[in-house]
Amino acid sequence: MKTVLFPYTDDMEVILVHDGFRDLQIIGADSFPENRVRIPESRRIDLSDSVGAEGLVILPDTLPEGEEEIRRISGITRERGIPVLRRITDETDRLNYEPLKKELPVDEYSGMVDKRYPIPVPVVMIVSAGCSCGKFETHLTVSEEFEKAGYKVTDLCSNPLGALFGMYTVPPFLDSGTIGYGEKIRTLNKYVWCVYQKEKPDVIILSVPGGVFFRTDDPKEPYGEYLGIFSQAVEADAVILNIYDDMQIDTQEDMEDLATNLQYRFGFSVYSIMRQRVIARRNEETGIYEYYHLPLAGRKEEDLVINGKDELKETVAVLIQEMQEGTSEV
Amino acid sequence: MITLKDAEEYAQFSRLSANENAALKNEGIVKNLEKYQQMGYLQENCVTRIEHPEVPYLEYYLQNRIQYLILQVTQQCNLRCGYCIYSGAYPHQRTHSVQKVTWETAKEALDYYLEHSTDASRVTVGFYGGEPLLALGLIKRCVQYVKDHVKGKKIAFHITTNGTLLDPETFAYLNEQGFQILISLDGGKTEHDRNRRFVDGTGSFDVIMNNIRRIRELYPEDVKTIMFNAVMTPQSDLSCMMETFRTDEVLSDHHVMFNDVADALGDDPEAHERFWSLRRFEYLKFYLALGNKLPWSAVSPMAERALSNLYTTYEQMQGREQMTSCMHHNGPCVAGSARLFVTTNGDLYPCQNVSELYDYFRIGNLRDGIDVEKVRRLVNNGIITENRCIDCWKLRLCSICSQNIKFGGKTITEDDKMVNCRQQEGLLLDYLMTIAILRDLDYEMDYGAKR
Ligand code: SF4
Repeated sequence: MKTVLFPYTDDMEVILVHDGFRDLQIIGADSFPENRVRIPESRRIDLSDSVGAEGLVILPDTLPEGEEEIRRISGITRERGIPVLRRITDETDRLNYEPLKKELPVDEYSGMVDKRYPIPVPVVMIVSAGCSCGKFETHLTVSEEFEKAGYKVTDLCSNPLGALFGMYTVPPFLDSGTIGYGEKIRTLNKYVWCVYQKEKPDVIILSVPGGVFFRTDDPKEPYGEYLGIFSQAVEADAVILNIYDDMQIDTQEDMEDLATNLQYRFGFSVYSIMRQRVIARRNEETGIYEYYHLPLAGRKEEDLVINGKDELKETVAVLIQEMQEGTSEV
Repeated sequence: MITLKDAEEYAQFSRLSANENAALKNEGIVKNLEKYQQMGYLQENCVTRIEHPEVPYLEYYLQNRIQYLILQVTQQCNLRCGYCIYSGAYPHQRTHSVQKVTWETAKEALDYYLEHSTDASRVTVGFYGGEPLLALGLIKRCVQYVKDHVKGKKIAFHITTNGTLLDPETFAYLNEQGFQILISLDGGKTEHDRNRRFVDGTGSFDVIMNNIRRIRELYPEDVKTIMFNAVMTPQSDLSCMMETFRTDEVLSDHHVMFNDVADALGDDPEAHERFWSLRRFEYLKFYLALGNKLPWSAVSPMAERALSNLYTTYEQMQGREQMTSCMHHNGPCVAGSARLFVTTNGDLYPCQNVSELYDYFRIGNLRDGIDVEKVRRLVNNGIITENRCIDCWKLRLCSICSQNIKFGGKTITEDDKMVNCRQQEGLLLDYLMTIAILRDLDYEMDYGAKR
């Protein structure tokens, strides 16, 4: 799809790096005047110039103060016959925007026999120490590398923007306040199995919302609850853990402590730890964590390199080799 | 933090802290030591290096995350307050001058700020002087410029004024633009006029109060958003000041902050004693109220501030997270990112409190940008006393900002900083003692109980 992005967020950088992956084609990007400068000059457009666009994507995680401008821009875009895609968060949004998601219809996975459905292909799970810790970037890179190696990949992405790349997004029942923890595990297991049945991929890649340690502001996700559900619903063959840039995991002993922690809490062992260019800082005024994405990107095209990407590609290469040689458990 | 109430344990730990090697052979002592170590206390010191945690990210902060721009719109002022840092009484500070910022420089400052705050979640601009309302026209232009150039995040404006030019019309404008207004007012007429006078020597109290009354008549609700900053000097009659802010019909609705000008104490020991004994008395009343031994009505708001400091320290003392090999004490913010102070001629400083005469604090200028090395020196000031900090019991508790260290203006030496270290030691021991006394008064310092 020929797409235009608005406004600048950390995710915009990630999407621009992966422009061209699968069917996504970015015509250009625009932003609020105060941070337009962060968009690489070669990708910066004025929204009124978005000739030929098939969709305008409003990136999630904008501040409420930007809403007026977003609605103004969306209105103009719609008037020109271009659909506006956005994560739907309330009823008004439902009327104004195309939802930014890809989900199985409920009747495709509900009402099935109550049993555990084993996933017959390798599963790679991407998890992170906390929120906003580069999972989206890791997910895209891993998928891309697997596809380059000739594998058919199906994804379940923790970020709604995964839908732009044809990825399934987080199914709504996971956020339901009326479904119990155990029920969520059962349903997710069925869900992933149904996705497998529908797509018949060689490998499934899942990224899990939230984080496994303390840094989160989501009351639903205090200590890796999503990961608890995911790790019980689907047996992962390889887990890639993203950590913040400043997490002090330097020695072998630190690594082992971390691996043990995840082993006893979630029952899996970590295949690879990726240090991301993100730090989490508590805002003393508001009391909530903010996530700082460190690359000094946005000024020049060549700045758009997410640290750790090369290492990640190596990790995937090793993983693929092990799969081919049959030496991995995968 | 542990308070040892058990006399035997106390004696054992006293032997340990006196470095009696024999103590380590005593089974009881070793057992107790292990008990507390399992609880996370009394760990081996693993610190080998002192570095501020933000040092690796300074470039990022200065490039993308400047959070607060403070623009010195003029160095002129219509008052000549006795304790003003620009009065000429402080050799390391500039004096009042007629310099004003031009629109070109102000715009350059705003552009610099907006370009280097793309990752900050809000835009905050403060206007500072001299008396900033002497440059109201320029302030209005700046406000409009920011509003025209920021569409995706919250905008906040702050102004610190002496209040003499804050007529209802000016208030209406500032209020409409969402300004947070801070007026310097030292209590009642006698207290205030002792120091805060016009150039011709007349007191400014009546003019300010007249402004506030008129604003109050026209904007009875909005007027309450005005905050006051009261400065306490050795000459101040503290109780009188407190009384004014508590009971005055006009002032009692407002939030008041109290500050002292320690420098104005001079060398007079009697002035020191008078000043501190009054404060100690206020604190004592406050702690007695916490322990339910005195009604809250007897406590001054000035002393209440002590509680938040005490809680902060207590919280830090409670922290039992593993120390890491690389640590830094508290105090320094990310200079230039937490705040960026721009003078009328476009020089950049970490805040408005540092000396504009010391090159040490001049972290850059609008044309060349911020010198990261200078910022690193201010932020990473633990390095000045690195060897001492590595072994210091206060490492996680002390708080020393470079701005508070007295030095000759060229470079801060270990001896310069040690003066602050000793002050920190006194302060922290005071806090420890206070916490212990409060416990004896049955006041438990747990956060849920915070008043
Ligand atoms: S009191 Fe001084 S020596 Fe001790 S940690 Fe603080 S700065 Fe370092």
